[in-house]
Amino acid sequence: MISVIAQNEFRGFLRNGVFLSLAAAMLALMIGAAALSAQRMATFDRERAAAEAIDREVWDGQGARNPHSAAHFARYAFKPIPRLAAFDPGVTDYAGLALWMEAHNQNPAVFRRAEDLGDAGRFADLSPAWTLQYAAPLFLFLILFASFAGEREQGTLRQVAASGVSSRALLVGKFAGAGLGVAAIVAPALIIGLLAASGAASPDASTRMIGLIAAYSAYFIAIGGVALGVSALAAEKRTALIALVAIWTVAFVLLPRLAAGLAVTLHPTPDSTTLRNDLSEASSAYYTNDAVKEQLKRDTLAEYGADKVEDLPFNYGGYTLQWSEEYSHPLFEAFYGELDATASRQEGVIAMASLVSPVLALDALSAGLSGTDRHHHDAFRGAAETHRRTIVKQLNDDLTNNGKAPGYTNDETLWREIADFKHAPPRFADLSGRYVLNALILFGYAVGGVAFAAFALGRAQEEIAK
Amino acid sequence: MLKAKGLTKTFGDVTALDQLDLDVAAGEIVCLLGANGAGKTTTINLFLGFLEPSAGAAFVDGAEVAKKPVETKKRLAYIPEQVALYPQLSGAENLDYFLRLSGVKKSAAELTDMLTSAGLPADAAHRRASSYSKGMRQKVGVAIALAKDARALLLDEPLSGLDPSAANDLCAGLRRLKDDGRAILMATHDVFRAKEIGSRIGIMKDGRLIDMLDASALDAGEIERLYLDHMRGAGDGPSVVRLQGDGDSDNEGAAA
Repeated sequence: MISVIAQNEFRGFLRNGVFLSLAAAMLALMIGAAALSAQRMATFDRERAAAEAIDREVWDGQGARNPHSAAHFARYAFKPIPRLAAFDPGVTDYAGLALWMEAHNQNPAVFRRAEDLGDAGRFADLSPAWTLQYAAPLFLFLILFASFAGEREQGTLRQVAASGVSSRALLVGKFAGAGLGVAAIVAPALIIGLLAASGAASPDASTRMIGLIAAYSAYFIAIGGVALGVSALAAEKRTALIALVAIWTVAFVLLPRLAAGLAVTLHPTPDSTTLRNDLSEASSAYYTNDAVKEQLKRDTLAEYGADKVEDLPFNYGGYTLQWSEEYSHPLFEAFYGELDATASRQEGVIAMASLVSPVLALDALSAGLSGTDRHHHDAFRGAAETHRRTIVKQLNDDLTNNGKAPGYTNDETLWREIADFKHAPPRFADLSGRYVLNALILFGYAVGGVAFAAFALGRAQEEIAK
Repeated sequence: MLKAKGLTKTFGDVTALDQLDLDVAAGEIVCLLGANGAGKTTTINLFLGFLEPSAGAAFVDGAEVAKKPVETKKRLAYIPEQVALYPQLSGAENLDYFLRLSGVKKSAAELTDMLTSAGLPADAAHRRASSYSKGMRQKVGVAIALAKDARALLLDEPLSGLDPSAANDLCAGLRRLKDDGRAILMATHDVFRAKEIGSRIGIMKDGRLIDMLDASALDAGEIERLYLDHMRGAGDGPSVVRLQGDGDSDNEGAAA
């Protein structure tokens, strides 16, 4: 019985011009999005590989110079872009692709693609994930609004009910049929999106892909439930359509923007001038604090039983450079810790808003599973900072230990000892605790969507005779 | 086959059906005549299980509808005023779908045969139902009823809006079903068609079955006169040709 209803539902879709048009449009959109994303990823890969090679070449070829001068000359840490960024770029375009690992400064990432796109760039974020998160719900509403309301209007719902079909069988059959219809639109899109992101080198790529499929499935179950429920409750299909388009407009277009606006209003991120000043203060904290400088000098001379720095068995200048670095570390940690706390507070507001807008929960989970959200970027930033500290210490130690003579320089021999930055993005399992809330909210939506559809159909059954 | 026992339905303060006692035997067509709001469609909805009775009970082949709604529906075929079909499916596909919902599976050739037997032109059986006239849809409805092999049929104004030829075809189909031993309960406004195919004719007014006529004992003119008398209130009370065994208990008492 259920399969008969599901098959009929699906056959109806296949003969519905609107469905076929929307499926074709969705497919075209996904192919376009996947192609754009794949092309973007290829560009990232190519440019990163070229930049890394140039960076190494320039670094090694900088000639003889003071190691601290080399530490200022510095190197770049290039962020490895996960293949799944082709599916969901997350914050990739906004968080920066490279980080300058210079002495004294823990710089924020630079080369933000969003900055290079110009005014029209704000329309350029078409990705498979965006298409599934925002466009697909509207498409699904457009194909499902008539599921019950249309049948009620044309009288077939009453006829089906008169055939001895239980409301449970009708609901499950309709849901299964709608699921087939939704899968016909969404599954190829999802597969295309994931294929564009395939070839993943990430060790937990399969976990992430399964997670993405589960998350998007829950999302579309919720959307299907809402669509069927509204269709079952609406007296006319026109009413169902208007209601669903209104839900889409509010929950999928307006609320996400409102939530983001509210989040940054309640918990503003410092402006770039403030950020620059705060970073500058942290980096020069040692040099602007005469008391600390004097104390270090006294302590060092005492430790080595020397009267003046020239009597120390090492280059005191190199020693203070390293000491000033380490003096700044907690200040940088506090600075970035506060930025992280602000971002967390903003995410808290968005998580609250996701209780009325499922796309917000999915958006966070999808970017997390794709390895392109803030947490993954923070892991890159942390790894780059660790590497910066290693490089700077290596150079400062060379200066300290070998640079006692004035005009000390080192050359390619030392530069070659400086390792390239290598970063293995965190495994999803290591960060999974951060996504539990979003996953639960999404799961709640799926259960709620089905429950709503069941409730609505129960009501609809009572209405059939009227 | 179809039995109503003290069947009553109220909507708030309004009594849509009041203490209906009715029996429709196998091989019999009972037509219910009455103005809009007389309780004809409510009666059919109660037999279909679309409404819960406020009092009394409806039975199909001995099973109480309120207690076994799915089971009783499987023994029924229902033809509404407008047979609703899926417009994107052909007549044959619609027939196949509704039969499969009832647990009946037929071959493509059988489906076509059933539709043509019900009067649908052979070339129309595989055309999309969106192109069907009302008469053609009603014929598909008859084919569904026939193919479902239901023991009882409920028809709610099935002749309304049909052209004379389509109405004749439908009546012929119903007679065949009656002759096949089906019990048929039909709500209609059409006195003459009721006389033509009905075994008995019940007259309903304000939710009550106020008369039950032997269709074979009266001509159409007499039935119309009695009906109009009842509608005007002049004939409230059973006619001389009222049959025993129907409309008894409260209806009978009220009429007397």
